[in-house]
Amino acid sequence: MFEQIVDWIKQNYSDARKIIEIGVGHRIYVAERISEALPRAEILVTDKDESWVRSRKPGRIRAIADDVMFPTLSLYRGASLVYCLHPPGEILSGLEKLANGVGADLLVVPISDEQHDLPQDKWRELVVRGRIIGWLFNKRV
Amino acid sequence: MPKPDAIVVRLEDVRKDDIPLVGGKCANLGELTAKGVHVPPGFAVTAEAFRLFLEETKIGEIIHKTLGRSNGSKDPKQYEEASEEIRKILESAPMPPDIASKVRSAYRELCEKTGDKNVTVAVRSSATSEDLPDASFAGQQDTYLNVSGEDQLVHYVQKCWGSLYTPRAIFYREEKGFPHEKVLISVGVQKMVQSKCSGVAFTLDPINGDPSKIVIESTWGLGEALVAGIVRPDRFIVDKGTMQLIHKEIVPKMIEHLPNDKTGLTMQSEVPIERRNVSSLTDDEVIEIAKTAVDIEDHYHTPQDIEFAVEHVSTGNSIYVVQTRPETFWSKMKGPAGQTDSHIVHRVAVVHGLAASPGLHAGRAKIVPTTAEAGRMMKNKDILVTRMTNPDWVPYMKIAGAIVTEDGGTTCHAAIVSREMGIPCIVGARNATKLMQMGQEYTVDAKSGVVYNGLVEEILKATQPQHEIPPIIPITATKIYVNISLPELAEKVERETHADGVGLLRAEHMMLSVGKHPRLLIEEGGGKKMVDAFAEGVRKVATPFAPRPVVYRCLDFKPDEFLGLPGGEKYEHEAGHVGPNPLLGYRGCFRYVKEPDIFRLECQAIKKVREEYKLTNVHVMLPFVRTLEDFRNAKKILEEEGLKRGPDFKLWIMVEVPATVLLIDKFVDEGIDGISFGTNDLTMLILGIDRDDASIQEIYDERNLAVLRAMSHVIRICSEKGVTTSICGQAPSNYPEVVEFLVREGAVSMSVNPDKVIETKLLVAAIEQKLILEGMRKMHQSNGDQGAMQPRWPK
Repeated sequence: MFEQIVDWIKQNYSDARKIIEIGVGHRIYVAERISEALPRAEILVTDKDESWVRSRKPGRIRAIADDVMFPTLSLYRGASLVYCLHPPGEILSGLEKLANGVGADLLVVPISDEQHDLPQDKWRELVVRGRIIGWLFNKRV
Repeated sequence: MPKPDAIVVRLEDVRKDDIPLVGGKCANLGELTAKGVHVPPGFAVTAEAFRLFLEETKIGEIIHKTLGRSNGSKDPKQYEEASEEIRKILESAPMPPDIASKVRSAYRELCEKTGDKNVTVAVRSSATSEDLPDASFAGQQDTYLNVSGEDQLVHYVQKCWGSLYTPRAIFYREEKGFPHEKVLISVGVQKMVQSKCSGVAFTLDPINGDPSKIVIESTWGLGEALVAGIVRPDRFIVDKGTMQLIHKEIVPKMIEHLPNDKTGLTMQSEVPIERRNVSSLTDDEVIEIAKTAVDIEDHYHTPQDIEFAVEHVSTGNSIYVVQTRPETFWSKMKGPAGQTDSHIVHRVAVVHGLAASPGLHAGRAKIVPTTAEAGRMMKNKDILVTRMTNPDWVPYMKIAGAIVTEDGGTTCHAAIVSREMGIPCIVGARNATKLMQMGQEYTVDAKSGVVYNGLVEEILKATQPQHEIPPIIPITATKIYVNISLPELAEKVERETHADGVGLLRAEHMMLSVGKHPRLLIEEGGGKKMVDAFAEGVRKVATPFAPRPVVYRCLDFKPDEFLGLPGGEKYEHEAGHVGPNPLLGYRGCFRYVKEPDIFRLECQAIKKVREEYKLTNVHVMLPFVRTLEDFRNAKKILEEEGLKRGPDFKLWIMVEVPATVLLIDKFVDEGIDGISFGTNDLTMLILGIDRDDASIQEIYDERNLAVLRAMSHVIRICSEKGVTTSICGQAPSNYPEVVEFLVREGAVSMSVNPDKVIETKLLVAAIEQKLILEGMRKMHQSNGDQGAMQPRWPK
């Protein structure tokens, strides 16, 4: 799953120095694939659940406990892209604020039930081969 | 101090300023040796030796020519080709005899010192640009272990030289702007520690930057498995202030890395059963490592990331520090002093910590170790200074003007609660309770994480309270519910919206939190885990909203959305559930009937909330109901699990499929208490639009007459039969005209996203008033009183 997202990031962020997945939860493999595809970029993952972050194996990808609704902005500075897979609707405003605050692109892949929560004036569909695979905030595609 | 043209230097003779000669790693190790830290003895083959090697063999020119070809290129392949070519040349060229003889002689001296004729050594590269502050790039150059004998040593020194030109190292230097020709490499040669176990000590918590903790991770064997992330290590947390071990987590360790005598590299091996679950460090060893770590941090005045190894010797275990580097990640976060507001930079800083909740406050400090003392001492707007807070502290946090805690990171209790309350907070402020004085005035700059002595007038001005007029939230006849996805935020949502209830509590994010496909959970015997997690999630929502209704919608992941979870591939893809369009596939009510054991877990969670937690305001809604038969079967399962419709338990269905619209009277007869429109799917299915097909999205519109007629029909039938009607799709949030349509049609409630609740309430109130006015006009018109509602102008 999310193969198309990984491919799209690989193609569009080949010069990125830093890419951050927000709210990684139990699914670290997407960040790992991005890290493999873009070995020069620093890939970070964050989650609000400190105990979960702590229980992870240390590895190539650094995991940080951070709450996107009250983010430590300095963590995100210099990121070309922040992305969030299956974000709950309640954190969308936090994601938008964060992306604006650090000047990073923002990509989300909501669950299908929450796709229509994204205000059309601020979000654009990310279309690959005619299919909507995600949504981009404020990015001129 | 070593001479600048030295070829080899003993570690004890180098200091931190010798980086240009011996590289960062060796310079640090030399500095530590001089400070008395237990470092394996050894020597450095200097950068000058490498420079001479390049000069005498004339291969420097070839290298720079080869690199020039890849310079500026962004293609990783070119870096790889250049790297391969250079390394081949470097490793195959004979080492000039004047260099080789000095390396051999230093090795013999080390053999004498250690009393071992052919002492086994570790050969590590120590680049002059590696491990510098702000440029940590762990493991960028090579390390060779278990090297023994002079010939082998010479060979591996050259291999280390070659590691200066790995593709990653070349790229990294270009990124950081280090010129290749200026970057030389030194090689550290150290007596090999026969590691019983090894690990890393951080002088701040790497997860949240908490500077009041020392976090130690260790595992059996060499540290390679740990650094590479192959094993999960034992983890210990030591409080820096008291040097007490405050957390210990021992995990099963299945593999360890051991030196491979033949290759000089490492090999992976299984940990014998009897050692797997045993702590890799004793408590005493943990404390000893922690003390060493603090000494090293104090010496460098900056947080450190320290690698250690523990060797078993006849007299007991011996702990060695094999490497130390400045911690660059969190250190960067603080920012230089120049970033602080200009009017306070000249003030005297008393304590530093992590800025956990930004803001500024000036006031009197109250040093309160316990809540009892806080109760006696704390006055409005005082600075609360304590070790760490917990929920008992909340009443005192509420009246505090700022909070300073000695412990904690960005996700500790004090940090989370203070952010929620908007109170400036600094956590991890080491020794704050000792360094700050009771009753004295301070300025807390929780933007920079610094507490300054005294009051700063500018800050007092800046922190004058802003008087905002809270909006008046009207009471409406049409109930305005809220949609909730994240139970953790329910309390906040309730506080901020005063919604009339929850019209849609999604289960999908609870499933993501559980982190496994439900079928995998059941197969592993973990069904109870799902029941407990779901019950806890629902409880978090139902508690703040009680007694207002909370409508829990059963899990409606599309099959492809399950794929991200462990077990998803097996139980969705391989089971043939992922069709070409998952939105029309194996989902909703159909799924509950096909896999009742999973559905029963959800039912048990709801029952637990209602019966054990006595939260009888929780009701159930079945999504994506296609046929009467599916509904009947799902309802039967609910009843078997003890969820039977009655005065205080309501069963709703979602109306998303046109079949449900057409047969709504039959569903009512079958036994439902409420319906809620899912306009996203309803629009998709009525208009025949694939929601993920970009080419036809322009005709996707929830206001399409066909969709409105479908809703009108359902509301009419339900109203006649006393069934409550609601909507939880996005239409009311996006289109005010849909809100008016629903109110006029007689929808009992609407459920919208948290940020739309107040707006929708105000809109609904206006519409309802308009309806009342229209009704009165009609009434007067039918009574023949044409002028009753006309303005009466004074004559």
